[in-house]
Amino acid sequence: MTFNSFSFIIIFPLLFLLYYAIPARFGKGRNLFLLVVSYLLYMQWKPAYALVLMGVTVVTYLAALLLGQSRRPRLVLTLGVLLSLLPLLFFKYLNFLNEALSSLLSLAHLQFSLPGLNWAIPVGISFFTLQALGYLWDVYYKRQEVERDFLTYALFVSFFPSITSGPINKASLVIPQLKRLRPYFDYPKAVEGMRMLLWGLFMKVVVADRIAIYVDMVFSHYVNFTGMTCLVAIILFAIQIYADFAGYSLMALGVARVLGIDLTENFRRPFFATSVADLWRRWHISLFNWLKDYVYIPLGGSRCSTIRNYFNILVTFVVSGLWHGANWTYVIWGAMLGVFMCTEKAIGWQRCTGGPWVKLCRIVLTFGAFCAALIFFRMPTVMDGVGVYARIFDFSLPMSVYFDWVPNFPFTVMGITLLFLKDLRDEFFPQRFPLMLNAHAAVRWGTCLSLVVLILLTGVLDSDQFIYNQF
Amino acid sequence: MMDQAKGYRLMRSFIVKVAACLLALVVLDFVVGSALDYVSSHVTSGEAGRDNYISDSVAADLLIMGSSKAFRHYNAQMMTDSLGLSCFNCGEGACGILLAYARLQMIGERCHPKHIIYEVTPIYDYLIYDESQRALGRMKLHYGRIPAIDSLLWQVDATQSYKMWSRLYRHNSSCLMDLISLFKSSGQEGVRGFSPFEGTFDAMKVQKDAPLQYDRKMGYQYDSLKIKYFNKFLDLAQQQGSTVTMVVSPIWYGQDTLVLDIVKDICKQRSLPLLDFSNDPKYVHQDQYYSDGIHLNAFGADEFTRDLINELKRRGLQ
Repeated sequence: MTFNSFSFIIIFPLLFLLYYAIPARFGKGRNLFLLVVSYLLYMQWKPAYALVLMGVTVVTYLAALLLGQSRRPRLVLTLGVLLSLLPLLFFKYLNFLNEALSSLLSLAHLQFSLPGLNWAIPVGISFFTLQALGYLWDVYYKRQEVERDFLTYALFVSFFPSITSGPINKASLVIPQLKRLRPYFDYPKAVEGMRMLLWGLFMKVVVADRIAIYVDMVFSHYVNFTGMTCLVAIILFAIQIYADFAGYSLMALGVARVLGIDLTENFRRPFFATSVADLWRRWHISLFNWLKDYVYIPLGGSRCSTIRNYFNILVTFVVSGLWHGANWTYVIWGAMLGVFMCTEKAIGWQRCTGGPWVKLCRIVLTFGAFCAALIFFRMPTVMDGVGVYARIFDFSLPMSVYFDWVPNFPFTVMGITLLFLKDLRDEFFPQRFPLMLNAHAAVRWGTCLSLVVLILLTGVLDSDQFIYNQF
Repeated sequence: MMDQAKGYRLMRSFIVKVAACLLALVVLDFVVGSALDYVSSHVTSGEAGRDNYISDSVAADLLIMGSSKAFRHYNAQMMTDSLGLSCFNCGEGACGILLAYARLQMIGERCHPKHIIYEVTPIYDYLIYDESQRALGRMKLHYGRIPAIDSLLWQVDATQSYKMWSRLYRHNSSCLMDLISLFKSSGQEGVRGFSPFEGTFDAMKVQKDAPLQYDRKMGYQYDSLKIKYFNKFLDLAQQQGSTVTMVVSPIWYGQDTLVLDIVKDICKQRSLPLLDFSNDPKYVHQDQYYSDGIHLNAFGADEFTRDLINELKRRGLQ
């Protein structure tokens, strides 16, 4: 169930009332309630796949317990990691590995392939697997205490706001909150949560889903459109994916906060980044922190030779690409970003020095680099990605841009403008022009009510899918 | 216990504020929604004006109904002049049988057409297609007018019965177009509802080596709700005393005839004529008649209308 669905709007107030009907002193009762709700919501999709979630939870829980007692902790860790990764590899990568293997063997004129798997991937598997593995590694590296209470740990892995599309939370952030006796009701947190939920919903249904109409139309038949149209579509796709995923993350954070729990911040105005390195400190922060902690640093990080450091960066980004999907397009996307990052590091561009114009140029360049790689992220096959590039750089085509005028174009412009102004204010003038946090109640209420009216009038309200659900 | 009591107070305050916010929203929804209701019902130009005219005023002997292929391919003025019947084109882009049923219900409140020509477009009339919900956009504006339309909306999406409590929601996505139309000079879009694509064939908009539209290898997935309303539409036309002719207009690609089997069966059961121009060699791959791979241009539409009129005359429709 997604946060912008009608069912969620009906169910969430009920969950809220039932949750707070449990007195604060019964902290475990509240956790048990959240665990049951999390599993029930997860099972709404495909009940049997709750077993995968439970399996990953049990394996990592037991492995972490054994780590403290075993004389061979490395072996326990390796077994725990492999067992936890098994469902992810099976559901998400089996077909990809199978195809890659048979292609490789066909080069040697050998024919071999395993039977293909035509099953749906358990929703959120990439997110909860990484979250559970992060905990296991943290226990191994002694950065996190072993959690002996299974209820608390199971809730940490399956907590419904973040299970389908993240953020990928650190155990050190969430588990203490679940164990602590939370106050009966944290008013400021709940109000802040509602605001996040509202703005996240605006980002999703007014900005992302409106842009999606244009982007999907162009990229599903890109051969019918000019290079300029493809260029505009990829720029819009960058904004779409940001509004979609950051909007979802904000809603997840908002829902959790209304229930009194803080989750990891996932986006921090990424399109104001002045370098690719800066971008990844602002975009899908929880994933890139995870990759940094459990891939990049174990590989040697930056405390090694320059060449080895570049290799580590490339591997980290390729893993990030593979995490997004079992397709060569994602591998190329990751590799391109890795190359951009290495290039930036080689020419010393990671630190931004200079005046506002230099900063502006670097923001534009960084955004351009991000969009360039994003073409492969968006297109279903490598050939399609190459095809889009070919159209963009085919200067014999007319330099015209197709616009879908009414109602999509004005609504898209309005949504993007409001999103840009909000991010601009948050980035450069955080203390000025407060609207949702204004001292005057009339301004605060007026802003919130205007947002609801805009959502009802201009939002795409029949879309029920988030881009990152598929990962 | 102190914390608990304080928590209860805070919770009460939170719930009261959320309730107050909801109340303010209900008032706002009513005020702004009513203003938009007024605007949308008084628009006389553009697409919204055309929709209002079809719903509230159209009275013709012969109606053309169906998707954009109906809207763009049938020259209603030419048909009026040649057949001696007043004709109006009620086709609508990206819509099919669901909107046609709703419109026939509304038109039937005032008058009953003698004949209906229905342009068959498989994706909008009986195949499963994600975009089919678009047809609901304009229907939402007529919510509460005829029980049959309300029931149709609920069947497409059960949650619509709750969503329709919001007057603002009924104007979702259409409000801007209605406001723009309000300030335009009045005048119907097209002539007798017909608005062809001007200009010549845009080769960029077709894949020249594409075989047929609806290749049978793709397999067809039927939408039971659309099929149900396809039959209800024909029942309603019969009740109103209208004769129905099914037509498939030309398509640049040509069309796999297998996709029409279900329509052929329905027509056979009900003894309705089906005129299929989709594989007419006069039109298949003939660039001069088309605007894109699916739609005829103005020249092609006139040529097709002439051929259709001849066929209808041959079959005795006067």
